[in-house]
Amino acid sequence: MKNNKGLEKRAVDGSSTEKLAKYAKSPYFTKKDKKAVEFLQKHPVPTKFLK
Amino acid sequence: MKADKYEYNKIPEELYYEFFSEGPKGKIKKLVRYKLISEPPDYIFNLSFGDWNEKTFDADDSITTNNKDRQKVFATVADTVLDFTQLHPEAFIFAQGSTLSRTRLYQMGISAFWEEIGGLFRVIGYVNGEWKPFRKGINYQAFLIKRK
Repeated sequence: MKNNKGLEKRAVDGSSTEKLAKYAKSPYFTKKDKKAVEFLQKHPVPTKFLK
Repeated sequence: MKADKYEYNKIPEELYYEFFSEGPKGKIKKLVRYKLISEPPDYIFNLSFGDWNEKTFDADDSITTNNKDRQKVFATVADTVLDFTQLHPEAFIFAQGSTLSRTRLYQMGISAFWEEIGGLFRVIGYVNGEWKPFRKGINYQAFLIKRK
């Protein structure tokens, strides 16, 4: 794992578990995933590229 | 990637990478997140990227941060792709901005580092109703990336 100086302040920034709980609730990520799935359903990638 | 980039912290259990952009607008937390959206054999992960807002508890890529570090931020995101695909060499990474102009930024980033990216990854883009191998100077709507 790489360390970022700014991320050393765990007490302020929260533990990995706390972060995960926050990030997992992000509507933005949910929306992006839904959009990606819809895009790929509408524009499927040809099999020749999925090898 | 040889380019200047930020160091990141990752939370591998859920495939999040976080780092801070630092510049005239201050220190801004960025998040890159990989999510499996198509099970094997396709094995496609969606790459989402944005600024993390501690007030709204949400990310957003519609913000123009203007922190004068676009190349460094892109190089860092590319670095997470390198790391992620080392762990998941068979994975395809789907990338699309929240708007066409955001997707164009991805394209500019891929073009800027094409010498390195092209040697390591197979990149295809969706344009004019077709998926095609990536070429510089074309405005794609989405990208799919896989390690060679």
